[in-house]
Amino acid sequence: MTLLCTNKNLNPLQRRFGILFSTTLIATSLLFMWSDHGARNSLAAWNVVLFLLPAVPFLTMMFLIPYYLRQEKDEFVRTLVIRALLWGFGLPMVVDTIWGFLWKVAPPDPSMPMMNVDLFCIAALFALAIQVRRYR
Amino acid sequence: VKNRLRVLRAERNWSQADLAQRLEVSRQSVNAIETGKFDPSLPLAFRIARLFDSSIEAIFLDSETETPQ
Repeated sequence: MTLLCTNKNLNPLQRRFGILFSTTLIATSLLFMWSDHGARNSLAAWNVVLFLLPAVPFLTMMFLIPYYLRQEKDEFVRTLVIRALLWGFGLPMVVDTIWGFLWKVAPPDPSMPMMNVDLFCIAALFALAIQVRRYR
Repeated sequence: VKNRLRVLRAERNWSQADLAQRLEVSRQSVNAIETGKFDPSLPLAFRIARLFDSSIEAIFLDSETETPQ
């Protein structure tokens, strides 16, 4: 987060987008832990709400990404971000596919699909960092 | 597509950052266009052409012919 705030190569809009991604990552993880803890200690009716909570930051981001892409004037940066998002979606899909096959052989930890959002954010940020480095 | 952006920029003694500022894009964009890793959209190509007081065909070279018009 500090790197995003102090990086002089980023314009304010890109910095905000990076911070949004990082915040989503942290918020999703915290809400996931909170809902997991809450589900063990609350009424069943509340569990539905608790299970939906970790999806909120991700859904918010899904609305904000198109907004960012509309605002970003630099078409090259826009292309980099779109590529990074595609890479971001790719990693959870690969992991889920492997997980799906593992279920047939030996059921692994069932909580892994819950980490899809985190995997997406990490992969997208990583892909963006690689591309920015590649074209610097 | 190949282009003469680097030559035109050098003629005016502009750095990539100078050109980027004039085009209102990032320096990375200028670098990517110059090295042929990124093809600009038509509006950006027009902006580049206007900046260098030239035509698009004189800056961007058709890969089939590779000669400026």
